[in-house]
Amino acid sequence: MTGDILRWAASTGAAVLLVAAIAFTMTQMLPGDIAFQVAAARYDAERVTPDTARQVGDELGLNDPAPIRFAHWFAALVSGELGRSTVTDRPVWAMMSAPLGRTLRLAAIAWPASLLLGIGLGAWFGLSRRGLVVATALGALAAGTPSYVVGFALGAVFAIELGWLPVAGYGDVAHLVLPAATLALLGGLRLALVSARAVAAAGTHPSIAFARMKAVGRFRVLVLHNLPLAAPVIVAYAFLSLAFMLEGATVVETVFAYPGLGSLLLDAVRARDVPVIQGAAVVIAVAVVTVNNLADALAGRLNRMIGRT
Amino acid sequence: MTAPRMMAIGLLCGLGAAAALAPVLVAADPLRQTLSDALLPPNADYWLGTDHLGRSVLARVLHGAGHSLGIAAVSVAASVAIGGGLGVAAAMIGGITGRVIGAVVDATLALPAFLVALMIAGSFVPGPLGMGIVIVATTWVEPCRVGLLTTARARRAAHVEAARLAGLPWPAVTTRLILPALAGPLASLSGLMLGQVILTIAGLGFLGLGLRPPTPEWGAMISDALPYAGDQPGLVAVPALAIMLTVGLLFVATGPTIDRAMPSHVPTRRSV
Repeated sequence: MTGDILRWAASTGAAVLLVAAIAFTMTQMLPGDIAFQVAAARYDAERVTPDTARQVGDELGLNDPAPIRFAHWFAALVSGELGRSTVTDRPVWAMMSAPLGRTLRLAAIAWPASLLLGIGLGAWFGLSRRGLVVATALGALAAGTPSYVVGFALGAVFAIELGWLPVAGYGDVAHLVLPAATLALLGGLRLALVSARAVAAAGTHPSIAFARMKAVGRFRVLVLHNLPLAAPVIVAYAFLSLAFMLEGATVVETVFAYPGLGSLLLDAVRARDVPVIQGAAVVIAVAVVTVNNLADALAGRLNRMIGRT
Repeated sequence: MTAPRMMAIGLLCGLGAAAALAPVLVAADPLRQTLSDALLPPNADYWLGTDHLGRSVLARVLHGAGHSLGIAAVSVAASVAIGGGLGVAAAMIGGITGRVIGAVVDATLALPAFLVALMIAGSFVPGPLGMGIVIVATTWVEPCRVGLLTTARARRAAHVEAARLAGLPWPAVTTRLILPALAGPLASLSGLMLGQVILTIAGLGFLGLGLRPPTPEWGAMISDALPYAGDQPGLVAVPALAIMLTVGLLFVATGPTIDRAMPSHVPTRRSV
């Protein structure tokens, strides 16, 4: 337990440092350009002169030496201060809190839905040879289909053709359905393949043949013997798929113009709004790293519980 | 080898050949705009129709295959060579250096790779070389981990110990006994990575952070086509099917071997 927590702390710290360094390095690549982009985002591209751009650069401290800027920013980050947007001049925390909530709401719907779909289908497919073939085919399809294609197809059918759901944006619960369905469908089908393989592999365990010989029903065997044996793999992958979702939300939010953290990050990347990029990237990275570590720790624990170290 | 795998590998070879021969196969220039021919449905001149700027969709999707597959293949090879080499080195050196590399690998493996690719690609508009660098920077870690774990296991094997006792020096042991043990796992991993990298390139293209326009690229073709999808759904469907077919076939071609080949649970990262 203590080991797990220490490992989490170490890898989270390393992740924050790495993401911060990457975010910072990218600001170094085109320093003059940043001042211009910021000025353009503030005042409109046509009205920006080289003088305005230089003024903006001076004002934001973009002309200081790089190590000094990184030290400033990282010291502030460690004390929980993420700085202000160079475009809107609002504090980064204030800009992030509402989008973060919306992204979490999306994940809170999409993840359980993908678990239901994935584990349900996986358990069913894992019981027969033909089911495994179907699961592999669906898994290949899900592995190859980009989320924006799924999102576009769902939107074309349910929003444009049938008109049941809003096409894009954010307002009430209806706006959550299409992005959540996109994430849940892709995550669920991938989880279904992993679960089907795990259930099929568990099916060769002697305890299952024994239970079947004792005339225990198929469903009971599945729930009481198959699934517990397959649990470490399924649980580990379920958490990994949550990590994929937090990351994949960037693209799906863009497709549906859903104003979550991913959209915020992308807009910031386009406007070169460095403090916002850094803030959003650090928050997403910490969430993903935490979930990844949770997956490892839980899988190890479950493996020990069923005596398969 | 199963029948579906054979078929998938055969089809992939066909796709690769079509991508390589794109300039010979289609006469049309993927960049030439003929605005009077914009948004044509498939016809005798343009087999898959034209896009909003009157460019041949067939030419763009085939030339796009060359870009996506070419960049993906070269950068995956570089990533496997660099990452795998580093992993082997870390396992052979061992000690503190090996542990430090192992710790860096673990920390990097937990990072969201697509997010990092997005941040790097977003800071400059990449050409093919820049895209290759973005890919290598975000994918070296998985081959590194596989190289590290496989080598560490191979070092402890009985035949390696016997070779050492017989007086074979470490360099010879590495090239003759350890590197051959890596070939299988790294080959399977490369197939899987190739699919992920094609999706990453397309995903960045879709977000407008990929290869410089007007380079024909599948992801950018999809986002360009979205406003016209109501009248011409084919404009979205053609590049989308190209991505799905390529990555799906790669998945079928490498999928079943990956479980057996991996030294331990290696999470396959995919999010786009």
